[in-house]
Amino acid sequence: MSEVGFSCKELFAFSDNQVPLIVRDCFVALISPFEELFRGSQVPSRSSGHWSHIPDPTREPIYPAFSEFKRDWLEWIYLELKFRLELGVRYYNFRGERLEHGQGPSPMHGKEQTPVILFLRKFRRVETGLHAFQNESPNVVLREMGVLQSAVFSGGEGEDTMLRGQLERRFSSHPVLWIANPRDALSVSGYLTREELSGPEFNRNSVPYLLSPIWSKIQNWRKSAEYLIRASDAIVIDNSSKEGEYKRN
Amino acid sequence: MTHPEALDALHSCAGGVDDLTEERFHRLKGAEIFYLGKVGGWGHWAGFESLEYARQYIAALDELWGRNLDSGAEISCGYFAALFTSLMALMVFRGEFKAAAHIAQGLAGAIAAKSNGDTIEFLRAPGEFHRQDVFALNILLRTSKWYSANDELYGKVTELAVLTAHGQNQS
Repeated sequence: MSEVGFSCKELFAFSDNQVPLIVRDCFVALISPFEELFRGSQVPSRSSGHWSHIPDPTREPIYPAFSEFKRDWLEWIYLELKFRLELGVRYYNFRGERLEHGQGPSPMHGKEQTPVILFLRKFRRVETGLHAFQNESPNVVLREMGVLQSAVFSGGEGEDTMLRGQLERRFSSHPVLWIANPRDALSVSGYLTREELSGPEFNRNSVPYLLSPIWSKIQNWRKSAEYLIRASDAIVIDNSSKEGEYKRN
Repeated sequence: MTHPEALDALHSCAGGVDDLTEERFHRLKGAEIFYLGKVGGWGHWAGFESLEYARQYIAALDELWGRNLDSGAEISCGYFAALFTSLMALMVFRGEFKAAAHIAQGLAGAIAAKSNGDTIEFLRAPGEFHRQDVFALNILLRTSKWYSANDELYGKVTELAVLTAHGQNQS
């Protein structure tokens, strides 16, 4: 009898664990009621069908404290995906336009390019509600508390984002490139230009590049960062960190 | 915690936020634009591992859709279709066409099976990328629209269809 492991804890245990935490927690929360239907959190393979693996029909999974939590979990996942897509498109459009301008005759060719600013920052740590309840079962916390997300900064709350926003506003006609950690949550990386139902928005000249910190099959991440530096006209460093992650020349 | 090590040694013009003024723009180092073309592309955007966790996302969502969410009125089918669409578009966007096609095939099959009252086998074993996978992708988009015709949330993902079309052209 083959069984398929369905443990929430192991679902995202990859070597580089690149899933944004909020997305991971939301999926854990969505999966856990289903997981509880099966003995030992083991879901039988679809081909097995042995009677002992059929869940007890009288057993009810424990749903979250509020039905709205499910909707919220899906919305978090959706929001993160949406931002990643939108910002990815923005970066690749920017990249395409710049390269097109640099290559031979084209409608863009001959037109002066706006200088590019690269903003480098210390990668912040993003936490979710689970961090505050280390000794509790994640399923219980998510069920009772829902999912929260916050970014933890060493140099003050939201300082890197605020500095970037300041830069983007001061040079609103200049593209401001910045590097994001793939595990970071882009959905909380926007500068709050205005509050909307859809969450914080990004300034129009804000152009993130999501850089995988591990060795990519395509390119060493440091190499990618170096290329971005060489392709930029000005480099601005958020050196607000007291830990000295960056040094200034 | 990771950080771009030793980057500051590359250029002497690096500075803090307050150091950059309009005046300083007159003596910028000058960008070497062609380096932008050397930066790692789609795979680097989110890591190749996204393929693996996307499979697990979909498998998990599949179970939820089939078992839990059907009985929960709080999640609309349109919303779920929108989530599927955005996830699949994300795969296409990352250049992971094979995975995207499998997702598309799976969802198309799932929708067809559900309409017949059958249980579904969502994820298929990895195989070669064929032309029919692109057709499946189209089916996914059409079906998602159908499911979401009256769902305002679908408006959030219609723009993603452009991305998906772009991915198909690339393939």
